[in-house]
Amino acid sequence: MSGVCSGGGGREPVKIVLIKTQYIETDARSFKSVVQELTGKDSGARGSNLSPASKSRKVRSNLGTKIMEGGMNINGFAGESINNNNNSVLIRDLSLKEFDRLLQEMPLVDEFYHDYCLRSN
Amino acid sequence: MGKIKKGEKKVRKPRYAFQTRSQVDILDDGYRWRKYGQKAVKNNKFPRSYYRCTHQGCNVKKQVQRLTKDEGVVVTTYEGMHSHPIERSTDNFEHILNQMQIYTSY
Repeated sequence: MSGVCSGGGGREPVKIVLIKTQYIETDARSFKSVVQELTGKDSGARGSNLSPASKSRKVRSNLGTKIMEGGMNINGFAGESINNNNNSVLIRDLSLKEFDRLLQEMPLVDEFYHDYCLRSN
Repeated sequence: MGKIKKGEKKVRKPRYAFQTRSQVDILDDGYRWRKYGQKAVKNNKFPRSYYRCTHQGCNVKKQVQRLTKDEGVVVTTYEGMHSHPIERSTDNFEHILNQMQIYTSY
């Protein structure tokens, strides 16, 4: 879609508006988080290019996978780190639905403790 | 991109068009919107609605359009980026948690 060109003269500045539309498919559940990712204030995605991290998250409709991976990053998800001492993980910006899903997909407490907390230090 | 001729101003506007299968036209995206227009669209039996973000100083707009060729799909097109963080106070779950005052010790 291009703007209007004024003919002749060249006295008036010509304003051209380039609208680049990027099409994204989401499911209703991921909708909120992807929208916030792309149009939110601190989103890493400026312009029409998605950062690699958000690109891979965009195609994931399995929220459980997305959040768990985020939680297990050594550098932390949303600014929290995992250290060997207390193994705390902070996940921000979860909606109720996402939290529900997270709870449903979480492993049993025993498994969780064994797999993630009892790692050799 | 090509040379910008004298007197020419090029403005780039990124837009994101979300195609979502949903029976609900207005999908919750965490922001608040006010409708400012609606118009009929050619070759489409559904009207298109126009919304603006209600946050002061934020000029993000969105359009909502249900597809005729696939009536289960609604297209939400966003233009611009929000100048403010998301309002979290309406989050019911957080409200409940605050009221329950759960404290854990590590």
